[in-house]
Amino acid sequence: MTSKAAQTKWVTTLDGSRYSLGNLLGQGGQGKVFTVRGHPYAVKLLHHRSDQARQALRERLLMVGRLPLEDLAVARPLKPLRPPHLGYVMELFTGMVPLHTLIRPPKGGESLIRWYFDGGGLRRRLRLLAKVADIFSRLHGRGLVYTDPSLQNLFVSADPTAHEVRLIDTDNVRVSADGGPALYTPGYGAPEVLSGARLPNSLSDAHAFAVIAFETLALVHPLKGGDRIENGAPELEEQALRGERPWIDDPNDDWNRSSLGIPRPFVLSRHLADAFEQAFGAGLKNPLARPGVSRWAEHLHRAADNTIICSGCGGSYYASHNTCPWCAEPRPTFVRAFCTLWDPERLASTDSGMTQAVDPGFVLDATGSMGKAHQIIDSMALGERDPVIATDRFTLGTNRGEPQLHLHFAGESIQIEVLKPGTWILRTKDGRGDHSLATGETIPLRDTRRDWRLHANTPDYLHRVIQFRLIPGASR
Amino acid sequence: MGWASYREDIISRYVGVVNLKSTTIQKPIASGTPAGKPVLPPVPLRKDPVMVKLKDFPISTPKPLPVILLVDVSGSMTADGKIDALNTAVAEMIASFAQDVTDQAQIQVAVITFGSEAKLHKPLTPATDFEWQPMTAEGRTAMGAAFDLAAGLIEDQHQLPARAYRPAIVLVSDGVPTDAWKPALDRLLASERAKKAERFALSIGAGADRAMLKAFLANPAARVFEADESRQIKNFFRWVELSVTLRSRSAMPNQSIMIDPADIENYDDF
Repeated sequence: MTSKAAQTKWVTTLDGSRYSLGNLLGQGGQGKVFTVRGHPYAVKLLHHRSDQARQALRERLLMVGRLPLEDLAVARPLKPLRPPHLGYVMELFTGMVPLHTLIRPPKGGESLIRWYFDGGGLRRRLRLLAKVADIFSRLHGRGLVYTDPSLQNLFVSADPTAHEVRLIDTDNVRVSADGGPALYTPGYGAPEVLSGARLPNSLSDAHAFAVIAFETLALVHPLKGGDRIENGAPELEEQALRGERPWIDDPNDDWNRSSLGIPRPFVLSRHLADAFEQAFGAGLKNPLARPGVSRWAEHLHRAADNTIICSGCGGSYYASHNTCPWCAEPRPTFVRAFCTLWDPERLASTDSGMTQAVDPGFVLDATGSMGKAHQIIDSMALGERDPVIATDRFTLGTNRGEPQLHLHFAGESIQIEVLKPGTWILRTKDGRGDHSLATGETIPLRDTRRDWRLHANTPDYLHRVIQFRLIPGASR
Repeated sequence: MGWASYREDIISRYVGVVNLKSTTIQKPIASGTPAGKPVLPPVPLRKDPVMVKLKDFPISTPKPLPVILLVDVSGSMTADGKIDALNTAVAEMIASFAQDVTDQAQIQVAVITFGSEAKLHKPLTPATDFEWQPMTAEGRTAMGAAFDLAAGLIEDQHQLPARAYRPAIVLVSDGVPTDAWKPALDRLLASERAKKAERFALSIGAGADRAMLKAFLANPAARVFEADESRQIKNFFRWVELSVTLRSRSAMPNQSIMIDPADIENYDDF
């Protein structure tokens, strides 16, 4: 009956454009979303019964329309509607589905893990989550709060080989200090927002994001996924969501242990496991102890970078495993590319007699006293014929999402192609074979066992040095 | 659309679609190995998926949210097409429930009818699997027996496990019970789980026993919904549907959400 009534409905925007509503796309607590006939738009109609609430919402829609969101992957409220309707016209994404589709397998489907792979497996889930965290991080960086992250308002490419992400329901975006209603989606609201102690802020966004990330990776809810709650009375679920119970993987309290979902070592890197413990351990009650979304972005990108593809089942897993956790096939040979920091200041202070002729990398290794100076600060796994594009995040430690290098390990050699102009110097550990790489140049490192170093700048500057290490396949 | 300019997917790995710009080697460096061997294109690594044995893991399932309908199918219900209106309204409600699939709650429906005797017209079934069979009206109004049947169902841990959300019980009647309904209602309301249930009551036509329906609600603030025509029957079930689906989507599906039934007519506007 709802959709029949809607088929004859027209709405008018503030600037006077008239649109006829098509199909009902979805409905939730806040309102309904319809397609627009003949346009790539959707109309979100909000229901709020009190005049005061309607007026406040109208003002907020106008405010969101003025926020600086152009360069973010969010669906902006394009045009607010004229009364008596309350809502707005927004962009309609084609070829995208809610993140929800990666968490709830269809009923009576094939094997859970096959379905997990069909959605792009571990690596794609990590990358999609990292990109969602990137968007939140940029929102927060502008003093904005998304307010209500959920599985239904984060959209991802329907194509399992693509990695686009978008946020919808942007009408909920607000300026941090603004307040506004304490909106949240069941299961994702932070305990302090549920209790009414705090209004939504960047830390409640971070809580919701952490829940979403955990569910997307492990297919179990971190708070209410424990066996006692799964099989127990609904009151327990409410307590868990309010933060009154330990989380399912709490290392010190097994009250909420869960036999559900994918074993965490399969899907969580060490950094991710630590971050989840921070988010749902200390951070459950203390928002300030939660990892922020930019921290999540960093951990998730790095985790995705360190996955390889199984030659047995085609699934992706962390290269730190000796056998594929999904099917027990031994890990194939791969190359670990890792970054260390080249710090000319530290070199000078420890070895003032050093000259340009000596490879300071060698000195670094030899003195061994430089502590952090040659700690590995980032790494990625290059599976055989599983090429990767290293962005500035890897080569410079920034996060512009700029492709810098194309790395390809194939046939006993590593192909390096420079995508971004810059100072790229390739040398060996013993300081021989200095070679500047030009943009577009592809160079093969034939002998993968040699200690190649790719410098992202000249020795006078602080920069990252990329090294490669061949890790032979595990034996059966 | 605006997204065309958004940079597509720059940090993903290109499994199977690599387009290396050049395989020309500029200069062999240091290693002294011969250069210029063409680069092999990436090959699909996957073996036949059928051949690979994958591990499997259980995942959580939504908790049941039971809706128990107690429907008067006494002979008087045949008058004025009341039973037909009821059949249509209930079928529509269940169809809407079937659309409302959330992660946390799975709406299940049971139908108990009472005419000459009370019987389980349809056992507790997930709305998504429900095949509606129209009810037929005949005989007297064995409502007391229906209360006992409902109490038995609600207290049965096999049918309503401990993990289930608080049930909703919906009572529909157009007349006066012909059996000993009061002791049966007392038994139902004394039951721990039925006592906590969310209750809805519909009185059809002038002949309904409103005091009895009010006693069923057992809440001074709750209202008996009254219907004189089929449109109102439909509105009643729309009200039940909205209350239950809002609950299934709410932060606390165990708490009831009371919508003012007077709002139902305008609920479909925006």
